[in-house]
Amino acid sequence: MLFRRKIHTEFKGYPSITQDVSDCLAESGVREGYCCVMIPHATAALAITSFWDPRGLDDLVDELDRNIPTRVSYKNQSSPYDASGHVKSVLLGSTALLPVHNGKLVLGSSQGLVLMEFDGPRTRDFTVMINAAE
Amino acid sequence: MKNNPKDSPLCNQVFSLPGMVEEQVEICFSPEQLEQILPIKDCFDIRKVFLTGCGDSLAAAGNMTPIIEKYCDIMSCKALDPITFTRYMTKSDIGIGEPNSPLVLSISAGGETARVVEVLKKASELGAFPLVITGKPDSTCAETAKKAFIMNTPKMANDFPGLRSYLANMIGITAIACRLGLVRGVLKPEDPQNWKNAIINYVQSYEPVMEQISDKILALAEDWKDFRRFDFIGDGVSRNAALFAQEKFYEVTGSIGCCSDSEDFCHINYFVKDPETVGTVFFAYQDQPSYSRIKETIGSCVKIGRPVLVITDADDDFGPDVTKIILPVTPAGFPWLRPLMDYVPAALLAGYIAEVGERKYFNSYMAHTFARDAESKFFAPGTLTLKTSMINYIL
Repeated sequence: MLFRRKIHTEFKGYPSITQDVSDCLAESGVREGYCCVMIPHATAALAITSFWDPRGLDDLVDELDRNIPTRVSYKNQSSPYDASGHVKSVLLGSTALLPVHNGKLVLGSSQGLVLMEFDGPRTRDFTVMINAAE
Repeated sequence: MKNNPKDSPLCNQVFSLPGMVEEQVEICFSPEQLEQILPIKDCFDIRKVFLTGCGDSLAAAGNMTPIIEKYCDIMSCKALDPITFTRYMTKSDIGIGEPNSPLVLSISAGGETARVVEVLKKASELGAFPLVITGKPDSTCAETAKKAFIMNTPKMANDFPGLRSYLANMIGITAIACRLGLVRGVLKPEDPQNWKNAIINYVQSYEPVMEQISDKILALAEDWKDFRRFDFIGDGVSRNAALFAQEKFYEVTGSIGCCSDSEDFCHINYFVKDPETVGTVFFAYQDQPSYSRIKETIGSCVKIGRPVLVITDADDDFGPDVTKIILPVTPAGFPWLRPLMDYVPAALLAGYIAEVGERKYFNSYMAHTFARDAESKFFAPGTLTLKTSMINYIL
């Protein structure tokens, strides 16, 4: 079962989409199976990380910026944020495959799904595919 | 048989604007072209912007200066005439020493205007960033500038004198402002598309009212066809619409015109002899800080017997003797769209007066046949020096 959702991001924002994905799972009625989440954008990414201390997410953004800064020398000349965002997106990835057990996503107690925005603000899509196990 | 005044070169161009805008916007906002003329590094080098051009190009520059100031994160932006730039400004007046700055954005639709070539040569020699907006990729201007932004305006028969190129040039400046604003982090990633949509929708919003405006202006042209003197009054950015109107009246009607603002007009032009024979055109918009002063000046003109046309977005009653044209309002957040089209009534008036008054374009051309008067002295070799003027700039 495929779900498409939209979310509005802030510049370099990192909104949680864990609840949105859980809502899709509940709507599907699947109890056992797999859930695939995908961000169909080239300047955003999907990460699984902790939300307990939001400063950890700030660290993530800072470290990505430190290693892949917005600079003028990218061959992609769209904009510095767009060019560096492409690289960050590839390195972090755009998909996550999660087990589903007892009708819930199998995640660590502090883990959640976060959409990493490397450009923005803009409206982003994400897709959720839920398959029941045979 | 007389020609149909609505089927004239200038008026046909006016009517064509809503139909051309979408293609022109796509050309100007093409990421490939913008990235080629303004790579990211060059965008960050720019500290100041000078906009310049001759005739209506200077009006286009003045109209679009506010969006560069607002959205490009630069120290300053100034529109100025080319001869001031080339002959009166020194290196220290122009730049502060950084390489590749200021951006000297020059406009020349035909690409051969000597004074604009002079601007580009001087900017090159100073180490600034000379960029030309032009319709001619193989022109002297395009070859002299560091980069040429080619408008590729959709072709139309008899697009003379240039009016479509005026809109194209303003869209071109807008695209450059959008590019700088995006790269320098002022604009959001979705803004280029929002700007494109806003420009297209606003220009096309004239389509349903164009016929109504045209009919009213044609009736006015019948009343004003024998006038030989005109005043055009606009404040702030609208001063550029007044300037453009003045220029078109010179070009296609051969009449004397003067552009001023609502305050200066009261001190000077107000006192001209035989006021009932001076066509007086106001640009008056509710959101202008000087709107109350403009209304006072309109009232004064009516009292001394001036024939008055008010181009406005207001429902205000300016009196029974005033012809009023109401323009489509700009959408919220996009007040800078108005200059893209606010010259429409004045351009139609110039075109219709030329037709019903049987004037020659540039005192030399039969409008419908484009045949140049063989005895015209205006275009005699060695007389008109727009393209042949001596290049001579000071550093």
